[in-house]
Amino acid sequence: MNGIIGRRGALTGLAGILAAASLPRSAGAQPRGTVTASLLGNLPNIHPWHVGNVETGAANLLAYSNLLKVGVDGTLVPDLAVALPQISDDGLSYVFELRRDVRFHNGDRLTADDVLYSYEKYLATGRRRGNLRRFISDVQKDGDYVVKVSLKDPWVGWMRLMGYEAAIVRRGTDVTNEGATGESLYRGSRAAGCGPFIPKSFRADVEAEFEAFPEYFGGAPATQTIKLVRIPDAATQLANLRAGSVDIISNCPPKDFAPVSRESGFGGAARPSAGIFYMPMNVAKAPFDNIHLRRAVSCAVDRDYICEEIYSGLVTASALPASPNEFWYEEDLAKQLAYDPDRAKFHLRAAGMPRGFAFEAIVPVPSAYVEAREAAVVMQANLAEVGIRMNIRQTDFVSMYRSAQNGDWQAFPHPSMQSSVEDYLVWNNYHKDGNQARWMGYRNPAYDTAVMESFRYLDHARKKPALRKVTEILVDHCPALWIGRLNAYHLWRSDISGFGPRYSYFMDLTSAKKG
Amino acid sequence: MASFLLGRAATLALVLFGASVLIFLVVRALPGDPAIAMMTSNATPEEIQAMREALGLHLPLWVQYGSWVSGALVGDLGRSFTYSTGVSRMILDRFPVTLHISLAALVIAMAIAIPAGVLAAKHKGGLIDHLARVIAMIGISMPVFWQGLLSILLFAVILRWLPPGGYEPLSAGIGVSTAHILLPAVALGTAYAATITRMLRASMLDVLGREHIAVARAHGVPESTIIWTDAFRNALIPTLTAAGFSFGYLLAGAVLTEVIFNLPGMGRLLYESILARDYPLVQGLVLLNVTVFVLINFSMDALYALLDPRIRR
Repeated sequence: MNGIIGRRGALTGLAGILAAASLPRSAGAQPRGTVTASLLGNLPNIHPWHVGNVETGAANLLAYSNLLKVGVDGTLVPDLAVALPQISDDGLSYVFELRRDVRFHNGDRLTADDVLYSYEKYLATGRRRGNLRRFISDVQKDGDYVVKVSLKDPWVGWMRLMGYEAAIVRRGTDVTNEGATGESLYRGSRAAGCGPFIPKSFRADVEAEFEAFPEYFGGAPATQTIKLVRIPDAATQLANLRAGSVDIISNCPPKDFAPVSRESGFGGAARPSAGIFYMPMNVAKAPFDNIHLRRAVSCAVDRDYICEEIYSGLVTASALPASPNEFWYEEDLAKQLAYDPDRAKFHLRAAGMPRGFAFEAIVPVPSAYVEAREAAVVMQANLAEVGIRMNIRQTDFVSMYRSAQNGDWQAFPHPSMQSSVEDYLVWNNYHKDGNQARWMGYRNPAYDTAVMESFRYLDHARKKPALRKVTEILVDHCPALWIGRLNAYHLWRSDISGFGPRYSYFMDLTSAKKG
Repeated sequence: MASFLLGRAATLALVLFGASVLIFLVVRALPGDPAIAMMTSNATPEEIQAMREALGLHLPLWVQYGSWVSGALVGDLGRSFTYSTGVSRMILDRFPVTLHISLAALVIAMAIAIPAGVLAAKHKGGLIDHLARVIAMIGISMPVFWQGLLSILLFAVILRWLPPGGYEPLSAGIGVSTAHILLPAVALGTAYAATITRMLRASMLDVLGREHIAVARAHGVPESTIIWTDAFRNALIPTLTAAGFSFGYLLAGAVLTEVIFNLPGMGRLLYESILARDYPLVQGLVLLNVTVFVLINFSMDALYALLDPRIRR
């Protein structure tokens, strides 16, 4: 009896070993578990070309891929392309070679035709297509796996913007219906992407669920299910993290970040992002048509206090658009606009207003950075010390932009998420063709030339001198009070790995796993 | 009775028509532009204009109004700008959440208010009365969001007895569902309980001071019968009126409670839609709120007329 059982046992064991040996190599790394992350802002859709906020950006990273993507630290890295593109000497032609192992969620293989289809549709219907349309003149294929993008003017920054919002979808996918952005669009998008996760369910403004795509070209994700849950209050997000109902939270009140991230059972990290906290001034009308008054404001505000005390160090103080940790930061130029009340008074005297002046600052609330209001109050106190009266008017972002477009504004201090400061904001705000330049009021042909020169280069060595020229003009004309650069920061439970903040501020959950 | 009801119904229709005009105009008077809200500030003016046209905002106001009202009459409240989903469908999706919370909050409010109000009146000037009034005052004074945050901290984070928020429908199981709505329902219910307690106490005291109560006592009717049969039933009418209006307010959605407890209800949806200048959604939600109030009012009028023939004259 024992012998029979022994033989059976041995046979069973052998069969087990053979079965185990016959399993695919990836079987040991099958996606498993669920990671739940909370979003502060609204998630109205899952759409390849409607990235309107960091929440839709997070969903897009899961479902879609682009030719290139913006890496954790802001550098461009290949995604569907095998490498960074070959750029012609005149900076007008970009050649991408596509990976040959990419499959869409429905199993179809990616070819250049899909890229052409996606760009054609994006440029015709994308929510913010205007920026890329301004520069892209033509997209062509050369065989099945080579795509050539031609620009009207040199602009390396288009690749970063493309990496955020011009995802590649399967050709023929019906995601282009202008009227569809909600549930119907989610259904249309379901088999459209080739990202690491497939959208599984979606409730606008409530939650979205994604399941692992085992045939993802970058390897099967570690986690089987990613859940994005909308929790529209930062303090409540933190309570949910503590209670264990979510694993990762997008935001928390800045003062809570450092203490919680040091607690056992939790992790957290912050890193410089492309976001900026600044106060544009309307240079087209009084009082800020006077350059000395703009400089007076810039020298009167104690950025270090705002960044350390109001934002608990999660905004890095800078008197320039560049952050002190970025390659194009210029210390000598920063000193010209640094906090110095005596210099502020000097500029007031130079403007013929030694006793100061008054202006209205439109402060948008609510904001992802809710402390914008407290920061404005500190600015108000700083400015009062040199005789400048800043009257605060609170409103929301939509009203603020409406006022801006009507020219009915003097200044608005606000945090702003950008795709890039050096490759986008400097053009968008102050170049004559920039979308926001229309209402910023700033016109300077020398500046336009300097910006376009900086747009020619991707490598820092050649870009830095060009950006110095841009910064010199911005410091000289001071069209904005630069307060600091936002850090992206998140908190998570300590059993989460493969996740951290990104330069883009979008939560990248593609590699997040639990346990 | 029929002519009375017909008259009231005609008034109701007129009120709703006036409200629809007012809602439509007020929503459009909000500062800001839905196209900008959707496109963000980085869009070109041409793109913003194209979006306006796609949303139908370039059409004359009366055309927009006509289109909205004619749709509303057949249950089609238009399409949300933000979500591109039918407004009626979104309301149908969110209303059960709000209804569930509202009913739970009302049950809690009444469960607290009825004994508290009756006992306070019965022991007027005594310890119970003072205690009930102090608690009611605290209930009215403490902001719901503050109470909500404290309860999350205590019951979800420290004690871990209940989830910190979110919504699970009854179909997920009565235990799970109740666990999710308990904290928000208590936060909302206690606030309304305070108001109803004070109302019931005052009504009870009024009734208890009337002659027929004195006569009943003189005839030796037991005190419990006097309190619960004679006084309470009479005091209940104004109390139920207050409770009905409280229910109306609850159905309109409690924005802060829904935000703090992460409930996908009507209040949160209205708040988001106002921020996004989502005209069809704001209009649909506000029109629904007005309709609920008007219908509650109509029902009360009908009920009073049924109970008291003098009102019909």
